[in-house]
Amino acid sequence: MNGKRFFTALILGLLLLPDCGGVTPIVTEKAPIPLKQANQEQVLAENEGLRIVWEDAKDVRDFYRGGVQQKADAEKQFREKAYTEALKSYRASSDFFTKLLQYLPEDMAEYTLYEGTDILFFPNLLMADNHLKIGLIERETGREGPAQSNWKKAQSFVQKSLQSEKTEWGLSLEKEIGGLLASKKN
Amino acid sequence: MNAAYQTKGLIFYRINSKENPEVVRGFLEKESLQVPVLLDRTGGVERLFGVWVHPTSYLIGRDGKVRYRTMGVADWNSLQGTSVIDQLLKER
Repeated sequence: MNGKRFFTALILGLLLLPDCGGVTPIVTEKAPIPLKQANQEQVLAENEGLRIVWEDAKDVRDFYRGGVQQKADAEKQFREKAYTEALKSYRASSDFFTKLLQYLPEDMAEYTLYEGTDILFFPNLLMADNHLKIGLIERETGREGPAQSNWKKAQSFVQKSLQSEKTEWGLSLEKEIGGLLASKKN
Repeated sequence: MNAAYQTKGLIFYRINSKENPEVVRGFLEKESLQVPVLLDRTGGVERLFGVWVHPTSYLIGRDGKVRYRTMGVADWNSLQGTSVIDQLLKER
């Protein structure tokens, strides 16, 4: 008797579920956040100012700010081809983000600092970009193996970012990393 | 406290962020603290200091570097508060 009830309930349940009842679900793909709304330059600008040093970082917000500030240094050094310094800064930046990601693992286009003040919060995407650039430096210095390994890490961070917040910034980074991985030099 | 420490070289400022000056004036009329209030109209100062909790207090040393930061309401008249200030004032 109980078995009969169970199967009746199961069949009813299956019929009521849209996917199983022959109804095609309407999936609305959310458009990615435009690049002009979320981009690296904006993130760097939002975190300019008072320097966060590792020893004094206490709150997750400190670790984000510290990571972004180190990244700003790294970007400048990378543009100037000061690769040794850039590598140091990218790694210091990634250390801050690694700590932060243990507590706040998701990227957010609107992270509320307090009522009325939001910031761009993209630790995964910034980590991805750090690994992308470290890989480029490794390739430049003839180290293809470590370059590829960094780009694989970059790809994984981009995917995490896109899962939590779909952005044009993330999609373009994903494309760039995909291209680099495909262009493996022997 | 402001008066007591001013002669020793400590200067207090309060910074109000992104509020209408009239609202700030209205607030000041109701209180007796003689501490100057600076208006950060655009929130630029707050952004540069990386403030995300109100109030946040900073103690800046004679060298111009931030030496202490406390988030939330701080009692600077407490033994802990005054000892931090006294320690900084001893530095030359």
